[in-house]
Amino acid sequence: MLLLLTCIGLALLPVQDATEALNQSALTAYRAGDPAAANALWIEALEQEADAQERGRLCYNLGNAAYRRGEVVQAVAWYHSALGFTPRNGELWKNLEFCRAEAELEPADRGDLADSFKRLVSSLTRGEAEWLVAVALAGLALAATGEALRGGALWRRLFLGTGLLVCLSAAPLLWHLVHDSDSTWMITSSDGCTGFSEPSEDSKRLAQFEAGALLQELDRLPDWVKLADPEGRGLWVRSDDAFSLVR
Amino acid sequence: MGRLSVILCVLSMLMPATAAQQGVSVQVGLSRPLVKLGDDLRLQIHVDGTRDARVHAPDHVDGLIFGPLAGPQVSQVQEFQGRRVTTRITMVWTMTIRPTRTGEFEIPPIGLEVDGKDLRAPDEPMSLRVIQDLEGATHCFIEVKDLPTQVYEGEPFDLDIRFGTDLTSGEVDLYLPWWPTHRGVLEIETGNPRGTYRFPVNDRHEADITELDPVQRQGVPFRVFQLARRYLATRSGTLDFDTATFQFSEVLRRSTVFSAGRYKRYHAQASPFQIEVLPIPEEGRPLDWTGAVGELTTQRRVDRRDVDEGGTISLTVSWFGRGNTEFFDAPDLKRLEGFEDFRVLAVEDNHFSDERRVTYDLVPTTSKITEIPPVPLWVFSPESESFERVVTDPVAVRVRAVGDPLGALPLAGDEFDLFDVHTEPATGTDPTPLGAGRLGQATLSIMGLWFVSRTWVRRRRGDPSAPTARRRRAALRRLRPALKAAHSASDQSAALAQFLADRSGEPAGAWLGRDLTTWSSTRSTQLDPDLLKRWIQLGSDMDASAWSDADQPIDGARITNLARAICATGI
Repeated sequence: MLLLLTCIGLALLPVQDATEALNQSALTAYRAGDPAAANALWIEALEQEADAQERGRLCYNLGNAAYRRGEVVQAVAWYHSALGFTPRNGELWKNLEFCRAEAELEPADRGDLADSFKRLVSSLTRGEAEWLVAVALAGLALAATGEALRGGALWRRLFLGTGLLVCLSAAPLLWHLVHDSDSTWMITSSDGCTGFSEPSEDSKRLAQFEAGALLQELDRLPDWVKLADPEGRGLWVRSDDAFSLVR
Repeated sequence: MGRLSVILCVLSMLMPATAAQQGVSVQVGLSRPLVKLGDDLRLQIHVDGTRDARVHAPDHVDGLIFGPLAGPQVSQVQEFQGRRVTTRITMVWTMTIRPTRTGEFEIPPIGLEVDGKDLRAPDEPMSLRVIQDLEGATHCFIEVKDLPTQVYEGEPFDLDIRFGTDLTSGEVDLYLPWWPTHRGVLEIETGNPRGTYRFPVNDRHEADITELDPVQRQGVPFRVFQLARRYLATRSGTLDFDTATFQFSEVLRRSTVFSAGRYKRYHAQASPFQIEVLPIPEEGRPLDWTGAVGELTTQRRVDRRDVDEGGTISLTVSWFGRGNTEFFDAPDLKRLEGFEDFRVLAVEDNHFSDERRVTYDLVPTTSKITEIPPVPLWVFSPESESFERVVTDPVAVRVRAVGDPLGALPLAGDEFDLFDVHTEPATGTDPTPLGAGRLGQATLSIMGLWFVSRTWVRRRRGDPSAPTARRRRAALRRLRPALKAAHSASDQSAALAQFLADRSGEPAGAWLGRDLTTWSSTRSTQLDPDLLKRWIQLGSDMDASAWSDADQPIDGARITNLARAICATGI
């Protein structure tokens, strides 16, 4: 087992080194006032990185780089992508809300009941959500054993209580099950963009999307992506004008 | 006779429907052929001999207003004629007709559908003569004051109807064909106090009426009432207002419990009138005109003039006057020149009769700001028939720079920059996902195992939470304190007996003096001979000590060990 772990570690070491080297180069470029170069290096690092926390950090840094380049809506999109990896990062949320305000978009968290609930259930990553359910299930198993072997009001209440706890703890996981399959795109072109009937500039222009609009992907072609507009129609948008939040 | 009819009706419900039906007949007529203008009459329709009849809407007659059709009222009477039972079914409809002018009228026959056949009744048109109520014109009046002949779309106008009488005691009714809603106009609030009285209008509604000072008409004092409303024209075209009627019912005799009152009705009419609604001209219409029409003025005020950079100033802009204050879009400051250095946090929009009040929460983002710029609004003025720009005065303000660049936490509205990039690699790692499918399987497995084990335990051992089961489980735990408290061999013997009773479910007395060898041989699984021997020996020792004079307790550990061994056997 030890030998196996060593082999895996040795195999991963070059990749980690390369990623860290790219990260350091990007940081140097960023500090030198060249966010475009930093952006390119962080994107390269992102393509090589597998760890979710690290991907979240890279998306966050890419958001900062986009903001420094003056692409505020794209910075918003990068921060939204980072939220998928590090949903409880306070600095990330502050940067996100700051950039949304700069871009004159609605706050991501308006602070009302619906948004607070949404933020609560989405505050765990997929792995954390599953482990939360697993811990609750362990408690349920214990209470179920006690209830089956000993009976009585106390064990029955414990059993029902842990059952309720399992249901509550399943909320973040259900959130991920529903939303992880979404392939959401954000319109990042500062002037918005046009929705075409076909993947061609010559086709009919059916809608105008505002910057910051979130749309679901239906199909993809080189340079074009088909997105569902609020009316449910599938419209083609140039890939350069939109940004996939799934990273 | 009336009582007899009731009895017959009841009997008809109880009897089988074998009675013969008479033929169908239709009667249509007016309650009165001659009426005074302002009074109403009824069109009555009787259909005998069927339950299957419908009345069509009457044809339009200029000068007559037909009310809604009331009915049908269906009555069924059965009569005994010798041995024969005759059933008579009658359907009755009524409709109120109100003339709006004097003259001779002919009401065409009314269309009906009876037993699936269309017919018209009566055969000839019904004649109606409407005459002027000269006496009513002497005692009552109604008039419309200062009505504009034309207004612009969106321009408010006042409708001032005054009516009165020189009679003292009676009831007032108003008949306004266009009340309470009129196509093409919206009623708007004026903020005036409520009226002195609430008078009925069109028999179904009520309106606030204000009593004015009495006036002299031809030397006779008249009480005068006013119905004032403000309307706003919503579309261009002609607004028609039909004849308004004021009816005063003078009380000749008040009604009592035993008799109906007697009234004499007087009527007065106001001529029908029209208002021409003109469209807002396209010529000269500014692109940023947001629909304001009227003669409006504006005012502004702020809650503070000295503010820190990033602080909030509430700018309240009010537009007053005679106009459609409720219906135009307030200026959007984000799109106005001069407001680039302000952030608009919130807008509160309110309307108070003749005033539109909008409060903007502004955040100055730089200390270079010295004033809040004017807020313009384009208004179409019906008087000058042109678009006018109504502008607030600028407000001088001072914005102080916040001189604390090392402030730990950014406050709302303060200058704030991004949190810096994250330079260190993430320390934590995301826990390895377990898989939702596995978790689902685990949940189902737990529930399944719980159900199976619960069922098995209860079938095999009964309810584990029953008192006997709980005592059995607690027997050893309760034995230890009992032995500690025992000061004699007799007490120890009693404690052991109680322990055995708890374990076996038998009474404690059954274990005192029991022949253990015989008892063991009757069990399905016999006890270990060594255990049985120790048990018998322990009993003998306790008995020997108990029956001696000293009654000294024996070693408690022996009893505890034996009890633990007994538990292990499953007793």
